[in-house]
Amino acid sequence: MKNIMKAFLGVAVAAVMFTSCAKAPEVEINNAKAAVEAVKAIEAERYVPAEFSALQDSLNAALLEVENQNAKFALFRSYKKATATLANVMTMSETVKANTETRKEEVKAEAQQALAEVTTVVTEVKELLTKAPKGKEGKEALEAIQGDVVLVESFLAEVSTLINNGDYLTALDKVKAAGEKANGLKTELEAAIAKTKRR
Amino acid sequence: MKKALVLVTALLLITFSTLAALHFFSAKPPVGLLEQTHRDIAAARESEARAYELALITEAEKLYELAQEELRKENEKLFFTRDYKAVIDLAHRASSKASEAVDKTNSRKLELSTNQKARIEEVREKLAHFEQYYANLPLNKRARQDYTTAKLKFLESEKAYDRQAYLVVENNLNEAKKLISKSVTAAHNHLSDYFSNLPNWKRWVDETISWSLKNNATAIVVDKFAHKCYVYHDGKLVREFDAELGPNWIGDKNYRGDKATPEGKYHVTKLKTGKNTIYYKALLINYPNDEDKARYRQNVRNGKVPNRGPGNLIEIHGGGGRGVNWTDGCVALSNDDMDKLWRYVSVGTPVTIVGSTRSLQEINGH
Repeated sequence: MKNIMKAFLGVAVAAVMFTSCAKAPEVEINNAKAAVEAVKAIEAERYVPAEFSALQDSLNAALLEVENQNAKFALFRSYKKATATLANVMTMSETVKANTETRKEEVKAEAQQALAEVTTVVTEVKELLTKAPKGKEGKEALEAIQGDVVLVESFLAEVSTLINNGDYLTALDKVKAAGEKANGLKTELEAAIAKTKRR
Repeated sequence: MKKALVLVTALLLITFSTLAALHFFSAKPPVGLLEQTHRDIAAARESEARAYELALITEAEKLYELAQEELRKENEKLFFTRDYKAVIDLAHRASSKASEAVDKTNSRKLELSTNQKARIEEVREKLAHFEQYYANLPLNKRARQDYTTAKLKFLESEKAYDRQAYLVVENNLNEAKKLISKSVTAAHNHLSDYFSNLPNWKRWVDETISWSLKNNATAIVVDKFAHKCYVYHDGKLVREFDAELGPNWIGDKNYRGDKATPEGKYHVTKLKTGKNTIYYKALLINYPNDEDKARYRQNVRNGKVPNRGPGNLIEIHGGGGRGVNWTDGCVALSNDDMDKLWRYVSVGTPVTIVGSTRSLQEINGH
């Protein structure tokens, strides 16, 4: 009777071995995919391309590991490695998200600082225009410079719009161009005023 | 009963061993290949294929997704019925598209980079040409605005080029080129009209120099475009001075207050010094002469100019050296130069004022 029980137990163990197997970490997969999508949505690919690429590699490696285990004989499947990689994806996505925000803020601050600096130069140019000789000499030239100042200011208005839209890199190109022109106008005016004083 | 259990256990063990063996020798999922494909797509993304070859990289990504889908489907089948050929095929096709995207992106970037480098130089030259020959001319406001906008767009292009944002460069550079070309053409056409008087100017200058030679006397020629005042004696050039004019110096003087410097053959009618002039020293000339008066009357009749009179009191005087065209139509020299000129002139000295002594092509090569 004992032997019969042992045999049944053996059969039962064998049956369990055939029927029970590790489950794929579906919840973790969905969470990791959602985390990567969320990071993608805040333009991580644009601001921290290397980090975002590494994050995508990790997610891809985890998904392939899951499929690698799925391909195995049910008894031998183990999703430990995939689960660990998915957990790492979650941690990485938080880091990448934070770094993206930081980088975005850095570029934004750089663009805003450049905009403030050029705005200051434009203000100085306007002040110089009031100090420029009021006589008939240079009247035409001053009018031309005033026209240029208006154009530089319209360029700076475009910069503000770009910053508000989050297009910081294009904003930087534009503000640097406006800065060069504004500094040129300032130099031109200073030279004209100095020349008048010398006479 | 015991025999039956042994038999069942044996059968189970045989079945298990057979299945394990079959599984061991069955097809394996091409995980390594898929990892490589993913790396190929990552390389394509890194090369900015999304900006330059969107269709190709999108196709590569789609094929990779299909490969993963196919892998999942095969893994759901019984192991001995699995076939990963479709997965492998899709992965290879995805890699191929990704590699093609990289190649085409790099070649497009290289092409743009090379092409834009040349075009940046071309626009830079056009801007420099405008700055050298036209920027300080009394052109209309539109031409100046176009030039300034072109300059700003050009500078922006340069910044974008430095950070290899070639697609951003493309738009700004095209606009800069269009605007500066428009400005140069407008300025050139404006000057071409003006320079249609060149034969007359050259004839006046030749006659003035001949007169100086014939009479062994001094004659003055003012070249407005060159902003020079030339002194001839005995038909030879003996002095030249920098001259400043009225702000609207391109074109003849038409009426009082137009701030234009007249063109024609005149002579000195009076030498002024001390309290007689506010400009240190002055040579009054006989503007308007008979031709000027006749032209003014004709223009008033045709409604071309306001009826304010042709203007008068045109002089060559001191107070110059300001670096701008500031007079009401007179020719201004620095006080030092007026002292030097003073030694050559007297009442009756011919003063010929022309737009230019050289052709436009000689001046700017166009």
